[in-house]
Amino acid sequence: MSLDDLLGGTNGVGKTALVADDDQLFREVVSKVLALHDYQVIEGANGQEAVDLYQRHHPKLILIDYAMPVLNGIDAVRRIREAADNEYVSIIFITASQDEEVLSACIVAGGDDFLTKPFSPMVLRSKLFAIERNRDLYHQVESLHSRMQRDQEIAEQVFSKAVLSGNIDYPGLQSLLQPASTFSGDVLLTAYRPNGDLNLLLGDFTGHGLAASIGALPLSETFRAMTSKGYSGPEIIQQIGRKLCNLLPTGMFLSASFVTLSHEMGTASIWNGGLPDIWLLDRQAKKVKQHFTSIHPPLGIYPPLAQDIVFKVIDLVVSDSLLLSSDGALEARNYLGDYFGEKRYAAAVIEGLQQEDAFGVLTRKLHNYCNEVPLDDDISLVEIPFNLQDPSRHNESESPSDHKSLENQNWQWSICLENQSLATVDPVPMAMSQLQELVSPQSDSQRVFTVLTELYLNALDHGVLELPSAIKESTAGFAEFFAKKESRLATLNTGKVRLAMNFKTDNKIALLTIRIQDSGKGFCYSQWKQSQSQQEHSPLSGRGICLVESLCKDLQYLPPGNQVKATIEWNL
Amino acid sequence: MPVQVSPMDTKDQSIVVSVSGRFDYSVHKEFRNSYIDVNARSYRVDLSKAEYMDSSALGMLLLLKEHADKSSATINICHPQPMVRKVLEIANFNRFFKIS
Repeated sequence: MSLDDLLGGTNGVGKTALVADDDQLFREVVSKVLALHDYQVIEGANGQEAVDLYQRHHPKLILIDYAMPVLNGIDAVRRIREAADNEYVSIIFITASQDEEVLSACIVAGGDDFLTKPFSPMVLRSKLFAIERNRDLYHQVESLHSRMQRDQEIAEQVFSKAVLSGNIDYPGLQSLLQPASTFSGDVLLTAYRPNGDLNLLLGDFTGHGLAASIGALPLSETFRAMTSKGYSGPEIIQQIGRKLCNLLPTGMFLSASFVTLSHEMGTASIWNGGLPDIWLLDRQAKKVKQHFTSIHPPLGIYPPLAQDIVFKVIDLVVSDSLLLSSDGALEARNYLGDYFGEKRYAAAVIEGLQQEDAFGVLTRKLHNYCNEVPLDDDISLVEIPFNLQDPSRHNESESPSDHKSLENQNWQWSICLENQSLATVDPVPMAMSQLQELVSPQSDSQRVFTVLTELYLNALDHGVLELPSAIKESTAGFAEFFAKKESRLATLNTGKVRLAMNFKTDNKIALLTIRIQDSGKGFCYSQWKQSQSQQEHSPLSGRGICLVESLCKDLQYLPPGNQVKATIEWNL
Repeated sequence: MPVQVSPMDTKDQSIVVSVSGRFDYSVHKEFRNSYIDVNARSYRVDLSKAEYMDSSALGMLLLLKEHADKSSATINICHPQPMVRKVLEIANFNRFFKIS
């Protein structure tokens, strides 16, 4: 292909070129060549004229002499570049010398190329072709870039509507989510379970930007739907893991931490799959109490096995708080390229505890460290304080339109689980959604959920699995208890639990009777109650039954103690 | 070159892929090209010169694993420095890879 063909392919219709030279003859020759290639040519005789003409006509191509009267070429180009802002303009310097310093000064001032006099029309045309080629590339990149920006804006809107707006306002919770590019691969989700427990998930998808956030929608949907139905942390993690495995391509995954705070039990259940340690802080003693290291691969690589998802359960006091972070915090770099790292992170937390603001000090230190250096990865930090009061109860919003007419109702619902079904099926969320559909008990769903959960777990743990509750009397015992539970469940081949609900209404009063019967030996309730009242401090075990008793109108264990009947009553 | 690959060892049909500097998304093409047309019995990933590794790099290792699994080949991740080893540990990648 000849140069003529190439230039013919990129014709310059509607394009203006500026030729600035104090030599009129030279201007005429160059203008002719340009006009042959469909440029509209404007001419200036010195640097000042060139600047003025540029501001009036905004030509896309400028050929400018290096040495000119009034204002030389270098100064003129500097001003033109200033005036052009981000507008695309190709500038070619015309020089009489081959002096290296002159040539480099032309490029520094903002020139794209230079031509040394004298040159043939053929050389000029070659330059024109090269400039056209660069301009086409520039416009391609520009249009791709603006398309990408628009996509990101849309994605950001969807993300903030679907993912973030669903989060709850948990008192005292502080979080920082700082994306590396406009759109972040880090996700923070919070929601209340029906019993008022707080579920929180901090996640970090592989990489960052739009591609990293594909999984955020199904993730938040699964998290919220399952939390509101009352599913437990392990069940939610397992379902998210399965879903992401189907959805994400190889090489993409979600590192995540999951925390459930239970106000009724005063405990936190913690799981870490692929994120840096979660820290338990004691704000009163101003020290770090415990670390929770990642014990599971990130989600989305392989479908997780139920027995592999093990939560750590710890007791909390009011001065406790949990600190979660994504790896971006540790891997943030300063202008020297050094990482923030574990040592600085730990030092900032300790200093923050002294100043009674661990989160504030840590985020400030991190911010000062990185200063203006662009982030390699998203940074997320979350501190959750343990509140004594159950914040979910204050936020209950009654929607009267949801009330169904509940006069003269009477129904029964039951489920019976045997053997391995006990290891894989959780009947409580099923019972809750039945109740939700048939009654929508509004604020009382918390009460019902707590009673169902406690009584069902008692039947399963102590009745069927014969786990002694005394193990749970020390904090360390919880871990042992859960380990034993896992292993016994895995090999369970005899055992049965039946759960039944009976609902009726009587003159504006709703009456729900829950019966749970297990295949175990049973226990003597009255004897157990007596032993409880003799102890000075309430032990860690047995808190469940006391709680249930306080929530029910009536609680009875029927002989031989493997059958319990709880009655809950509320006004319609 | 941040990613270097040894010629196939004819004795045990193995190759060694070495990554130096930052093991992150910027080398994903080179890393993939190092093995994609190779059909080895074993792949060694030498990380002794890698000073940093992010989650995209973990993803690249999983893609290598997918490639190796097709022909039941083995993968060894060798000599990660402390910071890189930590990243592999946090992700519990010892469940999927031999790390030495």
